[in-house]
Amino acid sequence: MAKIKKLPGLAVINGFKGSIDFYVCRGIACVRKWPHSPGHKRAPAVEAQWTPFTEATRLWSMLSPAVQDAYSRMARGTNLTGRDLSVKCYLTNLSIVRL
Amino acid sequence: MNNFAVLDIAYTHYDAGAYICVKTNHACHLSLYHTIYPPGRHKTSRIERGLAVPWGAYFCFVAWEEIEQSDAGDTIYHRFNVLPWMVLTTKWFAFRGTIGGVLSPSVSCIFEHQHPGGLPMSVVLYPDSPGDLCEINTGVPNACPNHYLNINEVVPDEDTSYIEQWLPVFTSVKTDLYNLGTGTLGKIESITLHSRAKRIWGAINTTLVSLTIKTHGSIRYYSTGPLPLAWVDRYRNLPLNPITGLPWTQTDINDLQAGVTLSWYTGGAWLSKARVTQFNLIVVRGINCPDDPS
Repeated sequence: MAKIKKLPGLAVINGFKGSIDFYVCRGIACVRKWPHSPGHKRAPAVEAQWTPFTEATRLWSMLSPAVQDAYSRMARGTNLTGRDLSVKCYLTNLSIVRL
Repeated sequence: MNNFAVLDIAYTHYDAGAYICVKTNHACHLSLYHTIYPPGRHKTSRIERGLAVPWGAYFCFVAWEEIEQSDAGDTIYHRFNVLPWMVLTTKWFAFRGTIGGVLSPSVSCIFEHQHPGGLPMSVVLYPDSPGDLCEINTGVPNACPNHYLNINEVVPDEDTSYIEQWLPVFTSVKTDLYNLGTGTLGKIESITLHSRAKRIWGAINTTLVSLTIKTHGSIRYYSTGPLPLAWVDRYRNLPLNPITGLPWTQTDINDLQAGVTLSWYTGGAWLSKARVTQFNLIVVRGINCPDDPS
């Protein structure tokens, strides 16, 4: 990873797609090698999320129509579906419903 | 596993509030957060390869109140009494909870629900038309088949209107049955028969009042003992339908006839007389939960 002064134009960014990744981290323009999946070599904290995530993706079909409707209503006007929201609500509440 | 999801929700509306029961996929201990204000929606974006793109949203509850579930410990079914909740008003609510005492990272969706109105959790049903039997021989001021008009008052009028029976022989057994007004009761926890009666003639232990029901074509008598000379209230609680052995249903109540039976009781003089001034049926409604038989 290296810091750069300014992101290049979109055409340049797209031109390096697959080999170099340009991104912004905390307001700082950065560049790095294009990320690849590490396969099954994951950190324990990441592995701990596999079971909840698997469960979260399977939950949708178990929800009653009333609950599915509630998720779909929440998702209106966003880029997410009701099912996406149900997964996010299951895994973490902090970014969805704030009290 | 420290996550939960609300799978289903059921409502029991009553005049002043509503019970909410939810089912979760794992045992947990939930709290309900509710508000009368629509949650604010705030769109979020994320930087994707240098560009800010729309991503999702988060929702803010304002002026919320918290209610902890009434069931102890971690459970699959969770009941909440939302009181007060005015009829025809809307609330928004969501659930958070703990599993084994540890705060779960999960949250439910936001539910939106309008209270449509409902009966109180305890409903008194009064006789509103004659039933199949009108055997008790005296009705003041209304004779058979309109005995029900003499005993259906909300506040007992004692000797102003009543039904009464001479019980001249050992085998005297006289029954009145009435139809009762109903409404949408939902789940029923139990019913209680109630009558207000007294002995007005004859020696002690000579008259007996039995609370009586007819359900599924069968009549059942529930003796409440001999009557004194002063007015006395007699009750009989029936958590289950005695014919089916199952909890009472709306259909059972719609078809139910109930009333009183006056009869001679052992001992004392051979001639006696009993009077009933009030009869009604108290229905205690239950809390609906997901998976309850409808």
